[in-house]
Amino acid sequence: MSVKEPLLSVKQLKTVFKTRETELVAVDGIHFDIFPGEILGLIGESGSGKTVSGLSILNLISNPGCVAEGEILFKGRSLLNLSEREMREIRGREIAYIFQDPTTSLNPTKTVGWQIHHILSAKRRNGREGFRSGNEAFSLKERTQHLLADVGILSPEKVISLYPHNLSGGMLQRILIAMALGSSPDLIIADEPTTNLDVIVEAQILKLFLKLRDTVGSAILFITHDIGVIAETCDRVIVLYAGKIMERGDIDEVLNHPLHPYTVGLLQSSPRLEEEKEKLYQIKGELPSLLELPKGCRFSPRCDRALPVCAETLPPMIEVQKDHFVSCHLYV
Amino acid sequence: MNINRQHIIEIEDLKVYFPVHQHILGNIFQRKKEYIHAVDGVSFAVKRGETFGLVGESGSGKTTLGRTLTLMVRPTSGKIFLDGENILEGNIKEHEPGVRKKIQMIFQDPFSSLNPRKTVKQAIGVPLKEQRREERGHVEERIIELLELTGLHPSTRYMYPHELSGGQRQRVVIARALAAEPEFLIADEPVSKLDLSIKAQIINLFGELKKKMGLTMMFIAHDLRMAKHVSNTIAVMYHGHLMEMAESQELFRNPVHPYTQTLLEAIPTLNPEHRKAQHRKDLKVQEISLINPPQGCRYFKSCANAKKDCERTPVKRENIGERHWVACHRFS
Repeated sequence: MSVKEPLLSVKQLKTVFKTRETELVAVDGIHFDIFPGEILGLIGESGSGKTVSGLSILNLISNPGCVAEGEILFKGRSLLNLSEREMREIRGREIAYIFQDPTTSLNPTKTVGWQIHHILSAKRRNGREGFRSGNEAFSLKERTQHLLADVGILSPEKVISLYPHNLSGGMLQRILIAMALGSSPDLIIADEPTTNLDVIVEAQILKLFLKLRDTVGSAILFITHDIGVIAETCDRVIVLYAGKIMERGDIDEVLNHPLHPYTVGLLQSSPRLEEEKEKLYQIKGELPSLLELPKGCRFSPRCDRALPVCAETLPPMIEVQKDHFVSCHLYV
Repeated sequence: MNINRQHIIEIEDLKVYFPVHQHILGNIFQRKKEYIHAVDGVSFAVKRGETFGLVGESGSGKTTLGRTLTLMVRPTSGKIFLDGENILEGNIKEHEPGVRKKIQMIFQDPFSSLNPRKTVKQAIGVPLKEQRREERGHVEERIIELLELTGLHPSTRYMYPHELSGGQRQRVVIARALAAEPEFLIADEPVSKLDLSIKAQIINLFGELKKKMGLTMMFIAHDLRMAKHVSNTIAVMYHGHLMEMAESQELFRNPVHPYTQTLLEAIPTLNPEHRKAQHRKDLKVQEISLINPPQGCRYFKSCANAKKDCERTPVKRENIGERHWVACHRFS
């Protein structure tokens, strides 16, 4: 793994939102790499900065927010220095973004077929060959149908003439995934793609993501707050809390030997099917507001094992085992 | 009808149909009105003191069923016995005050279930004055008691909902429901909108309250892991029908209905050794219309074991164990 060049490197990324009085730091110095064909999970609660990280990669943070510090390297190119025009070339073609809510991510006044068609034709104009475009004889309409069939839609010829309101959440999510695949992107950023879906549909979509990785070879950045989803799909995982990385490492390693008290707490507070518990472990307290972040470790006010030093200084990132990092004073 | 004193609530052949709104000309020319069969012939009983889990996907009718029990939705036909008295008999309006004293409901979204212009004190005060006819001097005292019971600081009573976090709001909603001193509490997805580290707190609060106050609870959820942790008995609902019901451990150990099996199969697991997503068989789900649903099993389209008569013949319940029944043709 270490020999390979990372597809995307995020270095000390800091994204801030300016208000009249202060500056809110939504993402504070996060650092990670994604390798080709890898599925990286980004897990965190609301306000942890997981969506903001995803949006920052594509330079989609709009005023009053901005990327204040850091570097984002995609295939060796720094994305933050690109012009808006160059960025548009990358968005959707080399890096695709799947937004959280499928019901609001599509245009309600156009048919689904039109919308996919539109994207494909824009890509063809720009000379980027799309997924499934090996055979020149395929018309755009046929390619649209092939894409829909690839994401598991049973009757694509019917679906293309429907409007978004005719379709269920699971179907819309598949259509968004099909749109993201239209250009066989190198990286797909999927922001909570299954949060609004039922378990059976969720299982289908997760399987689809794994299949994509195997057939198209795209790397996937999977943003979610569901540990189960991460456990099922990802190769590596990053645990975010209040804009900071708490722990990152190989998925099996993190699930079996979690180091950070926050990760341990999250894992213990989720009920498991194979065991019976009278009471769930609970992390005390509330999520911190970005306006009043603790001075030291962000998690220290809620931590059961906090040391005096935790409230004072930020813990460094320590590699406890190979590729298993934790930011906690307990391991210094 | 012999009344079982063990049961706080008994439901017999409950049907809730919603009329489909048609164009005015459709009303004139089309003689037959169309209905969505949201809850279609559901019968079950809830034992006093237990937690009854109702699980199902979106659109299965579980929320409608919960709302019907509090008479917020008027059923089309059927019987609901509350403490042995049929609350659908005669003038339903006359039953309402009695039902609301005994049954209270907690909703999914704590952000929309509190009036933004009322303080916590006002919100909790209403049921105290309306339902319990508490004397003026005692109201404040009771509010403080209720807030402390649900783990909130007494000073919270002067706050408005926007000043509270999601978890705190849900605690206020619970305090408000408890103000009426109900015997039966219906919680409709009470934690699905809450953050990961807050979910366990609220789930544990329910456990404590149940012990302290001897409540009977109905827990409506789509998160099966949570439902298993909380419930003594679980009923599985699909498109308006109950498919299977058993004690929660039994249901997870020995699911019999093909739908229950599919549903349990789809739960993301935290156990990395069982990373199921890759080698999971294709779970197919085919939607059916609830406007003219089939006479027989609602799952026949997606069922791998479906036979010819599954679609047409109404399904009967078969007991396959103590307090474990299934509605599937394979067992009749």
